Amino acid sequence: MKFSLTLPRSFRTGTVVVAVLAATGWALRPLAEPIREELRSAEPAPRLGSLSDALGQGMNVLGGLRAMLADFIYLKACLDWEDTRLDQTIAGLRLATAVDPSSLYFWLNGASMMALDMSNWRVDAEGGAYKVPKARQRQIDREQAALGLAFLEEARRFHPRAPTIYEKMAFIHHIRLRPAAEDEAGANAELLRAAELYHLASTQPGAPFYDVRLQASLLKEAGHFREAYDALVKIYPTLPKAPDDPGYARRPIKNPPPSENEVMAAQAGDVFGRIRDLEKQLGIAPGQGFQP
Amino acid sequence: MNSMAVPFSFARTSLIAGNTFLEAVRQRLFLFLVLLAVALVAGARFFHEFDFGPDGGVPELKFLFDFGLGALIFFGSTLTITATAQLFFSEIENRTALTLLAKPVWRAEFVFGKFLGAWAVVGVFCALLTGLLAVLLWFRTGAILAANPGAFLHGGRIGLGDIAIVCGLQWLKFGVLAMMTLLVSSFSGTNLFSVVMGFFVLVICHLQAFAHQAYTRVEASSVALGLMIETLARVFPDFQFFNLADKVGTEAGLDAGLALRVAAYALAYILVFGFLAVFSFRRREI
Repeated sequence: MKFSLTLPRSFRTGTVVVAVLAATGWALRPLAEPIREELRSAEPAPRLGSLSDALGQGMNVLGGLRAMLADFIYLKACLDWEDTRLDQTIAGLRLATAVDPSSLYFWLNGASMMALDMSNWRVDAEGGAYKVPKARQRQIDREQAALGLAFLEEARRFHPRAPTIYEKMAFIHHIRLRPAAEDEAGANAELLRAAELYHLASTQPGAPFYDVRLQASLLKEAGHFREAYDALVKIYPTLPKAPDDPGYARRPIKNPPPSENEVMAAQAGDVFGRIRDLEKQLGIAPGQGFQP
Repeated sequence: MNSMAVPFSFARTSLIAGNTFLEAVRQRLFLFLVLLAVALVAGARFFHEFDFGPDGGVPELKFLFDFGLGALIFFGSTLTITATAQLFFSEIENRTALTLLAKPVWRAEFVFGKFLGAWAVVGVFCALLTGLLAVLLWFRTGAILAANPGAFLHGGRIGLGDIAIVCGLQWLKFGVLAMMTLLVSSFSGTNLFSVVMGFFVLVICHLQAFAHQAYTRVEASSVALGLMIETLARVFPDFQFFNLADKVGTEAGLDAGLALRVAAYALAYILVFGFLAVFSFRRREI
């Protein structure tokens, strides 16, 4: 029998093709690597930490239509939420945000579900609020709040200047973590953290007027009257007091003038009243306080 | 007649490309995909009802852009793979390739002619959808601004230039995909095999970013292993480079320099895959 060492033509062609492609890949490194780095630095790196994250980004393979796909995944997560299926809801929320991280709606509602709703589900699953010891309930609240806050931290990487993310974080600290604190000092710390987050929200572009009011309100509740007063005094001159207010400095466009709705939302009169109340609490004499 | 007896001719290449283009636009598949894609883009406004984002403003424009681009990418990829394979195999199956290549025509002219014809068809498709998407976004931007003059104060407006760049990059990506399909067709026996392989290659190229990251995470125990892993990660082009759509409407905006580099990357791969397709096709017996 005669053996031949000659390789089939198709194999040789295939080898040449693979070799040339590999060489091309190497040769194009100086062009490709900066592009890869630039894309990676501009956007968070692909999240391969969990199966749902990897699956979600794998669905981006064909590009586009992500918003629509993510909507349907979110809808499924909402159905799981209705049936209080904790794991499936979290998985669905993670998948929806992995497919389309640009939708703030998914992040904000997802964080609420994780931090606020799910702790109730867990307490119910362990026997209900009357049966489960308070300490255990607080522990569950803290665990779920941490999950929601971590979800919002992830959202912040995609939406670094969205005030709503900071507002939601502040809300979780105020509503969920403060009552779940072990002692008074812990509760106060949560209140101050919430106030700090409302302040951060107020510094983002397009932030609503009420962020500073909430910040001041929480500071006052924590006994930090001076900080509350300073925050309100600082914001007051920028609030629109009337639809034709010439001193309205908050919005960087001249026309059109502030609308009726914006004037109502700003609640300049209410802010002024709070300033005067704080002056009384701080012992500032009439006439020595803030002059608009 | 030996085709090498005559020099390579761009005129003959463009003649083949022209005929391929005409053949392609007469196909029902092309018209069907164009109609579907146009209907989808034109109806994007109604599909917004399925979106959870608020009406008006940045989220709505982002949804419309994403939806329109999705239609372009999905149907464009389908058109590129199926049309390229079909146009190539129609010549082989109808025996017209035999007649053509019996004349003093280079196989390189045939391959590049087929490519240019198919790419032109995809170009028409992209131009049509890009124009439609631009009109849709322009119309909605105007309507949103009329309702709320401050809607785009903090960014989020999608510029027509950005739309053109993003869609243009997709067209270049389709060029690479068409050449890859031609490379597969140059040795494949059936149209179906080429089409299926074309879709596989599309998925692989889109997953290159993940593959690259996964490979770089592997702690190679030796230099040789590391080299092998790195080489494997570089065999296919990375199609994620062409997805610059996420930068549109952001504060940073689209970087034209980056887009140019991605375009150069695509053209380099088109040439390399082209030469490989010619190399493979030269050895094929028709």
